[in-house]
Amino acid sequence: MGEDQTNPAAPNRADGDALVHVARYQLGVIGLELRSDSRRAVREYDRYYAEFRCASHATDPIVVDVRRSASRWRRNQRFDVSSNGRPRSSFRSAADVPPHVDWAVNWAIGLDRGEYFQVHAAVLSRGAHGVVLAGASGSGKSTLAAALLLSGWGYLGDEFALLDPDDGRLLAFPKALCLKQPSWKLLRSACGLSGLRACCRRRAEGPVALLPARRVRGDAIATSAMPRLLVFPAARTGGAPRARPITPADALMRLARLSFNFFSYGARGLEVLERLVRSAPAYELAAGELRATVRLLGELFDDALEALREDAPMRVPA
Amino acid sequence: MMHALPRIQSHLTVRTLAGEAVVYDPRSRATHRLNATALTIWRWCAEARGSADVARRLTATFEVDAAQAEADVRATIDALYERGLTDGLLLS
Repeated sequence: MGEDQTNPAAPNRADGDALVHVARYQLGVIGLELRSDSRRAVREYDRYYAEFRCASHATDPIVVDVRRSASRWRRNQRFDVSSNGRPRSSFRSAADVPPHVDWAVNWAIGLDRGEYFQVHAAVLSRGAHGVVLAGASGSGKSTLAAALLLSGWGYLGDEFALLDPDDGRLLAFPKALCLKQPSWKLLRSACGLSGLRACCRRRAEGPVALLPARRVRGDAIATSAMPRLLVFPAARTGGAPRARPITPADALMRLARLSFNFFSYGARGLEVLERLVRSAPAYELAAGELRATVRLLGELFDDALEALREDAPMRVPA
Repeated sequence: MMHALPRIQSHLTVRTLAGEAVVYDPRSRATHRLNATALTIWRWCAEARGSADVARRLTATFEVDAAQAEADVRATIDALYERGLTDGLLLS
């Protein structure tokens, strides 16, 4: 029984008699195996993630199942999503598959990917150096991440800062940016981003759009970066942005609160965060007008790199 | 008045960062941030002879009078105990 990873229309028999369409994706360090009895479901996901298709995974993938309930009537159809065997969500429209699969993957990362130290954050980079925008939902990190991406920064993710606990590197999980409706207008006026449209409506947050980073720039996705700047944004619209430096201890406490698996790491989590706050200055950011905020972040980043160069040992000419 | 000092809990993990500290308590799985003054008093708990000694050191190190120093020591030790970082309150 061979599985065709390149053609979602090719079904395989698995899980009893159900016809299953299987598609494999590699999003940075996270592998995803999407299985569905609906060819349309896989096609919808491919609208945003076709570029991430792969033949095999480097590590054990997260398995997401999208099952369509058996109804003869299209208007009564329902999709049930589970990740790694745990039920996650149900919805009616096939167009809602991509964000629901994304959210199911997020859950599975939080529960099953303890090999990475996880912080709720967006991560962007310039070269080998990264900025972590850490904040809870609604803090504006995805909007800022999109604005930075549109300004030429590399993209590692908008949901998780995945840290290698051994060396402190930030690793990529470049899922499509999830943008709520209020940010669409900001991104259009400040960065000229057009064409965003709702792919799903969340009860608490209203319509959301997905923005694949590679559609912004072909080379937008970075693989890893060393953290050089920590920013804790607070969403504001308009006005001049303001950044206030915070102490390493304050930053560590905030990161611990924003971590998804700090407690399972215990004292080692403290070590991981200590290294992080020692390697990067931290700021609380009151975001303002988007272009000015991007400029300010660029300046803070340049200052951090400059300080790093000053701290580096002098090289002795040969 | 000299009061015996409570002892610092031995199971805690402490990281000192730029004059402040973050303390992790694996039993309660809680993290606590100590500012410079609290960290200083907490450290002195381990080596000073009593609360009056801590207050005296505080007066000598920071610009506070004796009454203020004693009040600060008592308040800080109360707060440290409430957070489970010491094994008791000031003992007479």
